[in-house]
Amino acid sequence: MPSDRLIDYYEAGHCSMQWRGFLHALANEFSDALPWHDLRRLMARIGARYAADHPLERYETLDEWCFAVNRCWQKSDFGFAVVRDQNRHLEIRHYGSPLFLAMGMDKAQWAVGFLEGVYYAWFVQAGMGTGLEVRAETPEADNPGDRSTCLRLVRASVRNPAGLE
Amino acid sequence: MMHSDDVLSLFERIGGASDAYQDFARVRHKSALKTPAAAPPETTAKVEAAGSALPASEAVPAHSEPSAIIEPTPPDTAGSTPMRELFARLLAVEPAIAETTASPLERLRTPPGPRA
Repeated sequence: MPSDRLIDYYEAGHCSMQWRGFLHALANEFSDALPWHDLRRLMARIGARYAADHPLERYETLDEWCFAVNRCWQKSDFGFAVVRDQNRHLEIRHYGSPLFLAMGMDKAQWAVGFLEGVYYAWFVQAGMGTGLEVRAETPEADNPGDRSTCLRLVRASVRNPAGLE
Repeated sequence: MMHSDDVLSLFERIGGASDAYQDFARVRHKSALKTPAAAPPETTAKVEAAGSALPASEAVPAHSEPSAIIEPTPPDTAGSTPMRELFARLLAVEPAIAETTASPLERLRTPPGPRA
C-alpha cells in the first residue's frame, strides 16, 4: 500500500489552492445548516450527478470496469481505486481523494457520501438492480495505517452502519 | 498605459514563474520519493482487480512523475467476472438482517430535478 507520506503529498498537490478556502467555508456552512446524515445524502446525490456527467468507457467485466473507473479518476486528478472481489461483497479502496483535504477531515463523515454516490451510480449504469448498496466503511482494525476510503458493494440490509436512513 | 511588449513580458514572467513552480514541484516530489520512509519498495501504487492478480510489472515505479503514479492498469479480462454476474452473486448473499426497506441510496434512482 502507498505510504502515508506519499498519499499526503499526492492529496495536497491535487487539491487546488484556488478552491481550498472556498470549499472549506462551504463545508463549514453546510455543517452548520444541516445534520450530517442529510449532508451525506446530499453529497451522494452530488456524486450521482458527477457519475452521470462522467459515464465510464466501455466495459464488460470487473477488470474493465476498474480500468474505466481509474481512467475517469485520473482525468479528474481525484485519486485512484483498488477493487477487490471478496466473494460476498466487492471492496473498493479509494486512495488520494482531495475531498477531505478540501472539505476538512472533520467533514469526512458526510463528505464520503460523494464517493458512495459516484460508485453507486456507476454500478447502476453497469446494470445493477435493486437490493445492493454502496457503503463507506470505517477503517479496519487490522489495517490501521491504511489511508484509503473503504467502500463496499453489499446486499442491502435494514441495519445501516453508515446511518444513512 | 501598458505597452504590448510590457504585456508580453508580463506573460513571459508569469509563464516562467509557472515553469519554475513546476520544476520546484518536480524536485520536491523526487526528493520526497528518495526518502526511504516515503517510498519503500512495496509502496508503489497499483490498481488491482478482483480475481486477477496483476503481474509485478504493472506496479508503477516509485520514481514516476506524480501524474504517472496512478496510471490505469490495463484490463486483464482472462477470468474476470462479468459485471452482471457479479451483481447476481452479491444479490444472492443472505443479508445480515432480513431486508425490509430499500437502501437509503436507492433514492438516487429518483431522477434528479432539472438543473438551474
